[in-house]
Amino acid sequence: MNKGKKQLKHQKNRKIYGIIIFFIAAMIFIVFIGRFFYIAIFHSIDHVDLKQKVAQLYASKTEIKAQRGTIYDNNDQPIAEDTSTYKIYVILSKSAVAFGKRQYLAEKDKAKAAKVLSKNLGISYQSVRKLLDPVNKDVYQVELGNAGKNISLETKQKIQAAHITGIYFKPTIARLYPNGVFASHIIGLAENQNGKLVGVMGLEQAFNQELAGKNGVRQVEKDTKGTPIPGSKVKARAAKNGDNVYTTLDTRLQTYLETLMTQAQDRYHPQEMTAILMKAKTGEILAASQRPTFNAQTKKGLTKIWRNILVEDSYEPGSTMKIFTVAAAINSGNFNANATFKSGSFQIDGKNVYDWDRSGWGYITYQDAFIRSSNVGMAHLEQQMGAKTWLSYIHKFGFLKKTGSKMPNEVAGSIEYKYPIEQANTAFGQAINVTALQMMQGFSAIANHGKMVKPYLVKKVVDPNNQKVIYQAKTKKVGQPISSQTASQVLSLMQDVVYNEDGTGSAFKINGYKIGVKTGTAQISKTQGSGYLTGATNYIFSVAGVAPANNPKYILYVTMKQPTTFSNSTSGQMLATVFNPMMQRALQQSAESTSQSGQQVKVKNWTDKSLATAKKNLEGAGLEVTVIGNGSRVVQQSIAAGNTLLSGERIILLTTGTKTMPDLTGWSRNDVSALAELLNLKVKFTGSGYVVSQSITANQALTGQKELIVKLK
Amino acid sequence: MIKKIKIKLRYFDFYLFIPYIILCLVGTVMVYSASSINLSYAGMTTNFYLERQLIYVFLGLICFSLTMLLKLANFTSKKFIIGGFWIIAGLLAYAKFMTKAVNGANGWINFKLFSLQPAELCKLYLVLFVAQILARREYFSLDNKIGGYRNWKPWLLVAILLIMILIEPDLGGFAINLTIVSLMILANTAALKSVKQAFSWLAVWAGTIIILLVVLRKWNPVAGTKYTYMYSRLTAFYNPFKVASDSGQQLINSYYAISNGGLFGLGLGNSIQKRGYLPEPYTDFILAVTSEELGAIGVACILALICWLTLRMFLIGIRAKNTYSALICYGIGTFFAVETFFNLGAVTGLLPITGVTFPFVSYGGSSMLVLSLALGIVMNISIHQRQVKFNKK
Repeated sequence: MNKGKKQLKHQKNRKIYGIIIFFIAAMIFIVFIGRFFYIAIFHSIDHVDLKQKVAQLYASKTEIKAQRGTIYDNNDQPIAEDTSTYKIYVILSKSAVAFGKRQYLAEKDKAKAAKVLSKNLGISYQSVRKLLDPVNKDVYQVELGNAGKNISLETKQKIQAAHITGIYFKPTIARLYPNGVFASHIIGLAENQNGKLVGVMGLEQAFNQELAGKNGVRQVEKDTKGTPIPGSKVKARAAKNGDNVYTTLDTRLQTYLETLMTQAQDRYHPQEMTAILMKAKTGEILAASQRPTFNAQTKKGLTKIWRNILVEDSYEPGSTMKIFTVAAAINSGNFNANATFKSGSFQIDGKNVYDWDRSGWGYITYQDAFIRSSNVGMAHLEQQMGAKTWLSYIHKFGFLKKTGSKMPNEVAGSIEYKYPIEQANTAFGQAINVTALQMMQGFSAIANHGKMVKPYLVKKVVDPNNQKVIYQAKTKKVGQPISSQTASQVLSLMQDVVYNEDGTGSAFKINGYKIGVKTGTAQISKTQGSGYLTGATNYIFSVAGVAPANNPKYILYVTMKQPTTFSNSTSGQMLATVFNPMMQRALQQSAESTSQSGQQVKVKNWTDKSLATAKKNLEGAGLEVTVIGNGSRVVQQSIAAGNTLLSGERIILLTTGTKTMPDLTGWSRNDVSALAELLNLKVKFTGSGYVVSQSITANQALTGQKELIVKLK
Repeated sequence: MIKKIKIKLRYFDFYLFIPYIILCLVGTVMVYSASSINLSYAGMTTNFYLERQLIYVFLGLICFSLTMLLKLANFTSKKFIIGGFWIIAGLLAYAKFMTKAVNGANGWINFKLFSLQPAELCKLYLVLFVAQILARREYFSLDNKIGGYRNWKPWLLVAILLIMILIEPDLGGFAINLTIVSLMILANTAALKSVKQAFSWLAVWAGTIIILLVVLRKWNPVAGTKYTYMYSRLTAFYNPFKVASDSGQQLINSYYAISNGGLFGLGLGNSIQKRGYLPEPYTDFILAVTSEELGAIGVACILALICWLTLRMFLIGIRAKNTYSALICYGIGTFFAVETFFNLGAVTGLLPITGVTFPFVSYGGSSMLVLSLALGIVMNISIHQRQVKFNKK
């Protein structure tokens, strides 16, 4: 082949190659175009329905969180409320860059970040620094442990004010219990479960459905940033906030009770302790608590016990039961106060009933039997009544049946009543198991002219969306086990327990008030085997009391189980450390409110009027008047004209001249807020209840003051 | 000089230039559409990528003009070949050792205005280099010196560059470079031996790849090593819905985009997938967003343009009398075709994801400049061809 021919052949071959490649390329293009059309028309790959997948991807069902209802005390102060808290995380990975902007914490900022975080979270600089320089350099982000969780909006803003890139916050919902240890097992707890607050104990659990509300839904197609996709349909249902639960608890009394019980706990170390203060006529529980307890805010102590002892535990009440034995005997005509019997011991069916002093006091009257707390006397009374009658009274007083307190897991109690000895035992509070709340209910019959009322804790449930009252508690008479005369006779016997020289309740005298009590020292059944525990402190010591004894307003029942020491006092003195100050505080508080309450006062316009006239007029109507400034004319009043106040409530008058700070001790939150508004002060509250301290001291000049911090308790 | 430009313009090949310009403009619009929403989410100016892409288009036109006007002989000079080798080898080495790895690979060198991918530049260089080697080989074969011209030294240089790309590691870049070189060698084989032999080799080659893909489905050779990320791309290719939240995310969201768009699209600007579902929707997966907004029909139009452009390059190669010119056209045509196919394969799930952009449409300076340089060379050849043809008449 010559050179030219060869060259032509090469050219021709290359051309053919080019043409074939040309068509192959064209075919591949057609394949790809076909592939696009296939997906675009059939919306399916490997039998996966793309349209359906896409709908799932975009369907953003945003739940609009309903706010959980608030639990209030009887003064509309929150006991449990919703709050938003934040969790901190710090991005460390250098790969966290979005559109050329650094999202991670830079090396040079670490010292500053550690400083800011340690200052605001109350952890050491070194520990933060250590977290920010992890051994494993590949971690994307770190969290700051417990200190970095549940931080408040305020702390978050303080940290954000430092403007450090790389520190981020994730909002979480949480339940705020501003009072800490405060009827904790009764109020209970709501926990964050999968982003939702769920009541797991106490009223939080019992009223979970009402409190929870109903989350709203907003169904809209969204992109990854949550921006609605244009042209997509929106389906929405508004969130319905949870109902508010108003309790009968009185914050002042409850806080005081907690303090007293903590003191007693520290002193006597009982295994368990309960106390309930109830309004005798209505059944409203004003204060109630137990030990061990826990701090609902910090969860400290929660691991010790989850039960609300007041309704979930039943126990043998011991001698406080004698109130009912005597009441039943009187009411059934089997009580002759002056008849006598031989005390010490008494044999029934070959088994002995002993008095706590086994040698007894010789022949004593039945009145003395109650005062001295004689078991033998009660066994006689039971036998005189007959087992059937006594049992019917046990039922009439509401035992062996749940009270229906609305608190979760309430038990009914039990009784052993087969043999005469068991029947006799129940007359002094053995062989019968009751709950503390059943006892309260029974006591109400004594305190209330024979009318027994149901104890209750929840006053009302209100739908905050329309202010509709969903549930309203009323004083509920649940029976009349005894007559009015019987009741007053028992009350008189209960006073004897305190004031008679032989009485077991002399420790419970309170100056200025007539008190009636019955003490109890109940044996504790062994958990294994039969019989009772022995030893000086292996008892449930209790006292049930009423005051004022002639027409009781309050019933207070305190129990202490197995204290480790009496701390050089008698068991009565031990119980009195809780009973006496508590009852006294309740009586004083009631005295204050009765002297003031009732009168409605319509406030007139006093602006530009003489201070002297205004003050005279308002004080004359029973209002508490606070004057700010030393001028002689009123320039502003805290309650606008036309509004009504109850007598005893406060009105603040502002005058011209030098303004000084009043003493706020004992003021309510509302009063402080009104004052702050008048004076243009920013006010910050800590705690709840009534003012115990103020940042601007009394009589300090107010010029230039901007902020007032007030501690409530 | 002016006269020379005038002559060039007289024989200017608008069949090459018009698709090129249309693609660039469509690309600019789509880059803006695909990027603006995410930029606004990030709190940046929505024009950020639009402005840059316009600059790249402008710089691309300058590159295009440059190679169009230069004499082809410049590319065959020893200075160019050796100098080019050292520059590219140097850039590859710099990328490998001096830059931070992105997804485990060192493929990019970051300049202020754009990131340069040396493997991209290497494609064009290899076309020019291999075309020269093969043209000389053919020339010697005419004198029956084919046996005597077994100079392995230039091939060594080619191999060095390919291996450097492979160990970056940049498997996608390696595959494209290797394919371009192979198809050019096959053109030479066809010319010197027979067409049949060339396509037999092509069949063997394609068969091997298919068998490899089947084998790899069952067997993961890099399991447990730091190169697992490479295999995850294969997993995503084989069964994207199984790894939907991970390596399959891009492909699945690309499917969703094409499916959303249907035949006629949701309308320009209305893509949903670009709103955070499809990662970086303005680069490799811009055609998915285009399909969602302009429909399969819109995509078909864009594909028709790039198809036209590619086939025209082959056509110019077919018509070329000069071996060197023909091989360059085949090479650059293959460059365009393979680049396009790898991108389309990733978008439509017919090939594993290799991180290849779509010519002139995807956002990016590196590929825009290299492709414009390449197109300029083909234009150069085409103008010459038309001039000769005209003069013959």
